[in-house]
Amino acid sequence: MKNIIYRVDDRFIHGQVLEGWVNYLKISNVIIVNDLLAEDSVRASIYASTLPANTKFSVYSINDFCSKKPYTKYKKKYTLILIGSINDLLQIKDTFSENIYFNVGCISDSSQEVCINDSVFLSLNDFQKLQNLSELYDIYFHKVPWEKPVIFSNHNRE
Amino acid sequence: MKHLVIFPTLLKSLFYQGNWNITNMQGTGFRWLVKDFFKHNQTELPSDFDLSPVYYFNTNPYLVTFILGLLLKETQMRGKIGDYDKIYASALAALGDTFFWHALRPFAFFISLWAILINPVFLVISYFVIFNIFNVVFRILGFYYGYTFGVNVMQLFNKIKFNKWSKIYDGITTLMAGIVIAYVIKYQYVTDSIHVIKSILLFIVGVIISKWVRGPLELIIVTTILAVLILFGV
Repeated sequence: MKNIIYRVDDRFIHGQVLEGWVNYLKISNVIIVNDLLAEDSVRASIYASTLPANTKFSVYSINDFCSKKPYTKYKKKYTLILIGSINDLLQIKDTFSENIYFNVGCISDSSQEVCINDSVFLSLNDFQKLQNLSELYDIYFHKVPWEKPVIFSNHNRE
Repeated sequence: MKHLVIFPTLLKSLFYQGNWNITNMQGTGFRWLVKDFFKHNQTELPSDFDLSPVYYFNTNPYLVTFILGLLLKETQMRGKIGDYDKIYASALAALGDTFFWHALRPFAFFISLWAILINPVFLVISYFVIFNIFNVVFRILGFYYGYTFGVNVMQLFNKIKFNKWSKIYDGITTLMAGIVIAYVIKYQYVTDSIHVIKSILLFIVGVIISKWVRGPLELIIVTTILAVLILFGV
C-alpha cells in the first residue's frame, strides 16, 4: 500500500480508523483536512485525544493543506489524511499524485441513491465525481485494511 | 454529583444496539435511549435533535452513557446539542473499540485462565465477571461524568490516560500469556528435549499463523490444522 492515504470519512476518527488503519498499519501521522475543525480547537482536541500517544495529529483547512502540503515531511512513514466529503476531496485535487492511496471509507448518509457497501452511500452527483476521478486514479472503497476493497478503476487508462 | 435517574436507561442501554442495521447503525436504539433518559430526568428533547427514523449513530456501546449524560447537560444549559452527539460517537467509538474489543477481552481471558486450576467452570464465570466489571462501571459512571463534564468529558479520558490503557493491558496480557505457556511447558507436557523442540516449533507456527489470520476463513483453516496436529500427538 502507498504511504500516503487519502481517506474520505465523514466520521473522521472512529473505531475502524483507529483499530483498522492507525494501529494496524502503525500510522504515525494523522491529518484532518476540514475548514470547520481547523477553526474549532475544542472539537479538534476531542479527535486528538483518541489517538495513541506516539501518533502526530494535526488539522488543516483546505487552503492551508493545499499550500503547505504537510504530508511531504513524512515520506517514509504512513500518513493518513482524513477528509469529510467527496467535495472536500476534490477541493484538494492540486495535491493529487500517483503516490496517493485514494480510499473512500465511510459516508454514512443512507438517504443517498448509491450504496457501495454497508458504510458508503453516495449521491448520484458524488458517484459521478468519483467516476471522473477514476479516469486518473484508482479509488478504493475500503473500510479496513484486512478486508478486500471494491476498486473503482478505469481499465482503459494507460 | 447531581442526582440523576439512570436505572431504567441503564437497563435499556444493555440492549439498545439490538436494532443495529446498516442504514443507521445504532441510531434507532440511541434515539430510544435519549428519549427515555430525558423523560426520566424531566427535560425536553433539544430543539436540534434529529428525530428522523434514519438518524445515524454508532459508537462503542459500553461508553454510550457518557454521550447521554453530556447531551442532557448541554440541553439543560443551552437548549441544543449541536453536533456533539456525532463527534463524541466517533471519538468514543475509537477509544472504546480499542480498549474493550482489542485489549480487555484477551486480558480478561488470561487473568481468568488461572481459575481453571480450581474448576473449569470458574474460567467462564471469572471471564464474565472481569469483563463486565469494566462494562458496568463505565456504563454507570458514564451518566454522571458525562453530565458533570458536559462537552469537556474528553478531559476526563485524557486525565485517566484512557488512550494508553489498551497498551498497558496488552502488556499485562502478554506477560500472563508467557506465564501460562511457561507453566504448561513445565508442569504439563515437557518430559524430555523432544517436547521442548516441539513446543518451540509450535510457537513459531503460532507466530506465523497469527500474522496470517485476518478473518473467519483463515481462523477455521488454522483451527483445523492445529486440531489435526494435536490429534496426531504433536
